[in-house]
Amino acid sequence: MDKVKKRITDAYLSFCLADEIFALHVSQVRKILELVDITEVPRTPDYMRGVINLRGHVLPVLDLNIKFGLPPFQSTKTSCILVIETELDNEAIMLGILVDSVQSVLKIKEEQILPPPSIGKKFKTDFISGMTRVEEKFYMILDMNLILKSNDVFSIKDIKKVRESVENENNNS
Amino acid sequence: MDLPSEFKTKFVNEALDNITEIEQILLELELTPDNNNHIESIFRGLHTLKGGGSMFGFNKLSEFTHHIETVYDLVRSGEIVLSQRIISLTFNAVDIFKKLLVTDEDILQTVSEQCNEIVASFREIVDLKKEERKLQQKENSVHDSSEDNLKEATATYYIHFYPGKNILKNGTNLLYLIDDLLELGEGFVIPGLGEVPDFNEINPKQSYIYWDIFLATNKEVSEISDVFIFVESESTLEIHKVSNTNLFTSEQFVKTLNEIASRNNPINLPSVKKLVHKSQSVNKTEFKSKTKGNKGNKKYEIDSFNNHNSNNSVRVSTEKIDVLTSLVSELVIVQEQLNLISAANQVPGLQSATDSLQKLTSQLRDGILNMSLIPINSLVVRFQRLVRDLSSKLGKKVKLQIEGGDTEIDKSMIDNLSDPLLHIIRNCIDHGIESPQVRNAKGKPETGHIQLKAFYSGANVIIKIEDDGQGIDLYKVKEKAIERNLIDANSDLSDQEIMNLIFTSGFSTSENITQVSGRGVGMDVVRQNINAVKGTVKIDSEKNVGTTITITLPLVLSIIDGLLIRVFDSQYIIPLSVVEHIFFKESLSLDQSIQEIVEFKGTKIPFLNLRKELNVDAPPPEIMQMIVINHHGDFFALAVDKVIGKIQSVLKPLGKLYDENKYFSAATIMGDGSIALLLDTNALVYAFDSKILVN
Repeated sequence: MDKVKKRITDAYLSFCLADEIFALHVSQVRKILELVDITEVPRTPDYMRGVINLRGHVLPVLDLNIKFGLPPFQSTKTSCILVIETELDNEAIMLGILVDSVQSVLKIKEEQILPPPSIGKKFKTDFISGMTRVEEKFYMILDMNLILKSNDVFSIKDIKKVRESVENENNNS
Repeated sequence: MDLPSEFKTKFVNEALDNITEIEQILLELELTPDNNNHIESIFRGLHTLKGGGSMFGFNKLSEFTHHIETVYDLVRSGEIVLSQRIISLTFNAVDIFKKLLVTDEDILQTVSEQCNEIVASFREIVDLKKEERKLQQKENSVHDSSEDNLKEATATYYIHFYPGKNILKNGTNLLYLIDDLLELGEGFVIPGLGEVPDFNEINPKQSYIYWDIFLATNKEVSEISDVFIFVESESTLEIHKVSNTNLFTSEQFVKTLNEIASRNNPINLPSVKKLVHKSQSVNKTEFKSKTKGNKGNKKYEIDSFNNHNSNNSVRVSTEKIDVLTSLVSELVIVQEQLNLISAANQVPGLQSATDSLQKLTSQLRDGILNMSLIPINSLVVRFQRLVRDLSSKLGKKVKLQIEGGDTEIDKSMIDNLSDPLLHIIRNCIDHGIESPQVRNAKGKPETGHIQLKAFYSGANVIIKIEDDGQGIDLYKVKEKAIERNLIDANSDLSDQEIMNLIFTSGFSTSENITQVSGRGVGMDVVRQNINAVKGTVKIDSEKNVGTTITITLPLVLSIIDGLLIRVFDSQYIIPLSVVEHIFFKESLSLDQSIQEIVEFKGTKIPFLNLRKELNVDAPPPEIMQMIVINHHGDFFALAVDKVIGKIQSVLKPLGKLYDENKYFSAATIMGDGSIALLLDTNALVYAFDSKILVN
C-alpha cells in the first residue's frame, strides 16, 4: 500500500532535442501530436513559436532550440509536438514543445536520479532537475517550470559539456 | 438535523437576495415612511427570512428576525408609527442578517451581542409606543367609533390544516405555526386526534395530528395562508371564510365550539356551515369557499395571492450557463465549417438551409450570452446604502443619481467592479462633496450630487462617476507626492500626469486619516481591480466644480461578430462593433504620407499600417484596404491587405504565457481548424499614443 502511495509511477518519456536526450516524468506529458501548422503570434519572443488548435483550445507552442541558443527548430520526418502540463505562477498551464523525436518510456527509480551537476558557476544548468543513466545512456530531466520562468538563454554547449563531464565521472568511478 | 449543504447554499443565496430587497425597500421607505405597501413588503421579507432560517438550521437568524418581524407587525397594524429610529435600527439589523448567514460558531457568538442590543432598542421603542397608545386609548374610550371600525373589518375563518406525515422532517415546529396564526386575531383551535394510531404503531418521526381552527381576524386570507407558506406543499390546507363578522362575539358560537372540542367530533365543512348558521341569526352569511387545497397541489383562487412576486425569474447555477455557452461555442465553430462546405459545394437547397441555420445559431448565441449579463442596477442598493450611512455620519447632504442602470455587463465583471465603485463613491463623499456650510458659502446647493452614468460605447461599457464637490487640488496632489517621495521636487509634470499620481500606491490627499477613507490604499487598488478585468480608469477634475472618474470596460463576450482580415499570410479578426467604415487606398500613397494621416469623410485621421505593426517585411499589395475604427468617438484607420468578410468568432484565451502580449487579446478557431488572432483595438490605440509621444 505504501509503495503505491509513494510513487504512482516511475515512468519517464525520453525525447531528442538539439542532439541531446532529455526526459520528462510521464505525469507531465499529456499528448504527443504530429507536427501541424503553427499560427505565429506577432510581437512575442522568438522562442514562443505560436499557437495551435488542440481540439478547440488554443495551445501555445515553444521552440526550445531558441531558448538553448540554437537556430530555430527545423521540422523533420520524426519531429512532433509534446503537449505538457506544468506550472507558471502557481497556475497549471498546458503548452506544447517542439521536439526532434520521441524515443521511449523508461523506468527510472527515484534513487537512480542524480542531482543536477554543479560545476562551479560556469554553466547554467538549473533547468535540469536531475540526471540519470539507464543502460549506459545519459538522460537529462527537464525542469519546465524553470525554463518558463527564466528569460535567459541557456546554452546547449554548456549542457553538452556538463553531460560529458558527468559521463566521464561516472565512467571512471 | 443536517441538511445537505447544497440546500443551505441555496437558502443563503436566496436569503441574500431577500435581504437586499429589504434593504432597497427600506431606502425607499425612508423617503416615504407612510407607504403601507413598503411596510408590507418588509414584513413579508422578514417573514420569509424567519421561516427559511429555522427550516435550514439558521436558528439565530430566525430568532433575531422574529423580534424585528414583531415590530413590523405592530407598524403594519398601525399600533406604532414608523419612526426614523426604527428605520435606522432596521438598517443595522439588515447588516446583522448578513452576518448571521454563516455557520461559524465563533462569528455567531460575536454577532449575538449586537443582536441583543438591537432587539433591546426595538423593545424599548415598542414598549414606549404601547404605553403612549394605552394613554391614547383611554382618551379615546369616549369615542368608540374607531374600535367599531376595526371590528367591522373582522371576519371569521375556518381553517383546516392537516400537515403531511413527514412534515417534521424539515424541522417545522407545528405548534409555532398555530401560535403564529393565533397572533393574527382571536381564535379557537380544535386538534384532531382521530388519525393517531395505537401507541405501538406510532412512528415518532411522523405527524398524525390535524387541526381545525376558527379564527376571527381583520387580516386578509393571504396573510393567513402566509403562515403556512413553508408547509403548504406537504400539507392539506383549507381556508374558508365563514362569516364577515367576528363570531366569537356570539356566546352561542363559543359554547358550541367548546362542546365540539370536548366531544372530539370530526369537523367538516358542512358541519361548520351549520354551526355558523346557528350562531348567526341576524347577519346573512356571505359564504364563499375561497381557497381549496389539495395535498401537495395547492390551487389558489385568490388573484392577489401570488402577485407579490411579480418578478418571474429562475435561479440557474453559473455552471449550467457555462456548459451551455461552451456548447454554443462549439455549435458556432461547426456552423462556420458548414458555411465553408456549403460555399464550396453547390448542392441545391444546401445554401438556403445553411443560411437559416446560421440565423438560428446567431440568435441562440446572443440569447445564451445575454443570460450571464447582469444590469449594473444590481449593485445600486449597496451604493445607496453607502451614501446614506456615510453622508449622515459625516454630516453631509449627498444624493446619488443613477443613470443607465440597466446597462448590462458580465457577471464576473460585476463582482470585480463592486469594490472599486464603492471606493470611488466613498471618496466622492469623503473628499469630494463639501459640508453644507461650505457649499452654502460657495454658492452651491446644500445637497451634493453624485451621478453614476453607465452606457455602451462601441465594444466597451463606460461607467462615469461625477460629483459636484470641491474637485482635486492639483497643487496639493503634487505637494503630497513630493512629500511622499513619489516624484522628484523639480519634476515637470502635466496636469494629467499629476492626476495620475493619485493612482500610485501609498498616496492619499486627506490631511487626516479618517475612518472612511484616506489610508492611501484606495485608488491604486481601484486601478488594479479594474485593470484586472482589462479596463481602464481616468480622472478629470476641476477645482470647485467637481471630479469625474471614468471607467472603461471591455465587453467580455466569449462569442462576437468579427471582421476577418488578412495581413500577408495570416488572418486576424477585428471586433465588428468597432468597425466604422472600410475603403481602398493605394499603398504607394500610404507610404508617401509623412504624418501617417488619411482623409476620411472630409476630416484627417491617423492610421496604422498593420504590416509594419506586425513586423511583416514583404512588399505590400498595390491596393490596401483601410478599416476605420471607432474608438469611443475617436477615429483611426488600420491598413490591411484584404478584408475577407464577416465571421462569428468564438474567443479563446491565449493563455498565461501570452499575458504580456498587448496586441492580441484572444484567438478564434476557424471553420477549417486554423487559428485567427483577435486584434485588440484598444491596445492599438496605445501604439498611437506612444508613437505620437516619440514624434
